[in-house]
This record gives sequence, structure tokens and C-alpha cells, in this order.
Amino acid sequence: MQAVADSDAALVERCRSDDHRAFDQIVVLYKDRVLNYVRGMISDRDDADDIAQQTFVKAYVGLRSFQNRASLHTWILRIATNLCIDYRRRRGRPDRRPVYLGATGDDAQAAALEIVDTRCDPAQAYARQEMSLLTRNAIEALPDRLRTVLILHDMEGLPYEEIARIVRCPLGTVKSRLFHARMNVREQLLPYLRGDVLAQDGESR
Amino acid sequence: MTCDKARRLVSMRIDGTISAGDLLNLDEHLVRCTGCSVVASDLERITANLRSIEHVQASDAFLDNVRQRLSELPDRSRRAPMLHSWYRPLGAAAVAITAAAVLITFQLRNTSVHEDRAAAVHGAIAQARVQHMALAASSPLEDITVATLNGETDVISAQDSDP
Repeated sequence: MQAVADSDAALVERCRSDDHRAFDQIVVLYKDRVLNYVRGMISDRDDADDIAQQTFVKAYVGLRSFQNRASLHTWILRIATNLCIDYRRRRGRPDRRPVYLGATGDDAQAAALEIVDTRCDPAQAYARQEMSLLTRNAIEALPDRLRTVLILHDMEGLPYEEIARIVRCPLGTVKSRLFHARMNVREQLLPYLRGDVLAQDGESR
Repeated sequence: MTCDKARRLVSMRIDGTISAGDLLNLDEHLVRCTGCSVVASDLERITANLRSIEHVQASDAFLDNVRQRLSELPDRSRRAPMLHSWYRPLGAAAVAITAAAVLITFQLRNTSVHEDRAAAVHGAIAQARVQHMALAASSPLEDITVATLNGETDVISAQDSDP
């Protein structure tokens, strides 16, 4: 982790000396993580891609004032978070599209939520994918403060401490928001949880 | 242990951040409480599902698109001089001092104009009052009175004080 921080600091210094290749390296290092996060936050794939790119443009412009108090990764994700929240506020409430895979064939969402499934049972693969899409809709309905924490933790795998720095709140608040986000998603998925998809999946393990 | 506390601990157990003591208490609670046991199972399944979502990879065009956007930035944004931390408060102070100076100048100028106008009005009224006294003496049925004029003086003063 220290090595990453050191290399980040060196890259930032090179950027400040107008070394454009150094900024290219920063983009290459973090583009996948930023894109994943933004796609989790914003359902429209094109808009998400646009905001992921905007994140790096903002980072470039603001890099001269970056003071290494947070890691570069945390700082970039904070920019992405602000852009996503700003986007959602401008757009009003999220566009909650009903998702029934196969019926509507929403390729963009399906591709974004493809499940790693090593088993060959098409019915189970379909059920798992459908459950993921339903989960995605449930996340989409969460308030910003809960959704941000849930995606950063459960989808991006960030520790509590880094999330606290990104969303600028105490550690206890992160834990609490994460708990409420999970309970909220569960509440929305209760009909499915009690019905079939995950129950079948659980039995098959 | 309350069910709310138990469910919060379930969330921490999923993340592996629960203490050994809390884990023991939670296990005891879950054995006795079917509701919390179901919640625990649901949260574990939902979390596992979230964690299994495959990560996307940015296309090769991503870097090119960012470069393109950077090239479209105005020069000032692209090559803004570095503002040192000591320089920023200095700049803010300069802006504050300039704003205060403009405000004070405006107020002084405004006060001066106000005073000039008030003096002119009062002078005109005093002159009118003298003329009126002469008129009243020569024509007692005229309906303009000194009292009315004094009232007008008050009205004009009040209007003049409005911003």
C-alpha cells in the first residue's frame, strides 16, 4: 500500500511538472475502478461512461492543489462521488426502469451486471442474473448516502476507513449506513427472497 | 441483546469486523431468534450476490477520450499556476479588503449625496415657509397652512431617508 502511495505521489509530482504521460498512467491505473463505481451509481451506461471521463478531467484540473492528505485513489473516488450525486440531483429521482431480463432485453444493464457463473445450468444462471438485476434496481432506489456506501463497500470492496474519507463522515456512520443500506435492499427484495430465486440457489449449494 | 443490535452485528460479521465477544453473543441470539436468523441469512445472500457481480473494464478508447477532453480545456484550466497554500489566504484577504473599500466608498458617497439633497430640500421649504407666511398674512383664506408645510417637511425628510 505504501509502495502504491509512493508511486502515486511521484506521478502527481510529474503531472505538476507538465508530464502528460504521468497523467496517462494515473488514468490507466484507476479507470477500471472509477468506471465500475460510476456504473454502480448511475444506471445509464453512456452517462456513467461520460461521468467516469469527467472524473479524470476534474482530477487533472485539480491535481495541482492535491496535497497527498488522502490517497490518490480516495481523492479520485471522492471526485467521482460528487459528480455522480450532482448528476442524480440534476436528473431528479433515478430512472427506475423495470428490469425483466429476456422480456425487455436491456442489454446495457445485462452486460453491466453479468454474473460470473462457472456452472452450466442455464436455468440457474438465468435466475442468478435476474436476481442481480433486481438487486441493482433495489440499489438504484436507495438514497445517495446509503447507495454510495453500499457500492463502495460491497461492490468495490473498499474498507470502512477509506469510505469514511471519501464520503467525509465518521467510521461509525459508514457502518451504520452500510447496515441500513443492506436492510433497505433486503426489504425491497423480500418477495423474491421468500419466493424462489435465492432460495433455489441456496438449496443447490 | 436486542434484535436491532443483533442485526447490526450480523452486518459486521459479514464484513469480518465483529469482535470475538460480540460474535459469541450474536450466535447465542441467532439460535434463539428465528426472525434475526432469517435476516442474517438474507443479508449474507444479498452481500454475496453483490460481491459476485463481475467488474467491467474500461475500453481502450477511454484514455483517448479523456485526452481529447483535456485538449479541449481552456489553457488557463490546463496550465493553471500552482497556488501555494500560503498564497490562497493572502488572495482571499486582498479580495475582502477591496470589497470593504468599495463598500465604504459607496456608503460615503451615498451619505454625501443624501446630505446635499436634504439640505437643498430643507432650504427650499424654509424659503416657501417665509413666502407662505407673507401670503397667509395678506390672504387669510388661503388653505395652505404653516402646519401643513411643517408636515410636508417631515414627509420629505422621511422619504429622503429611505434607501
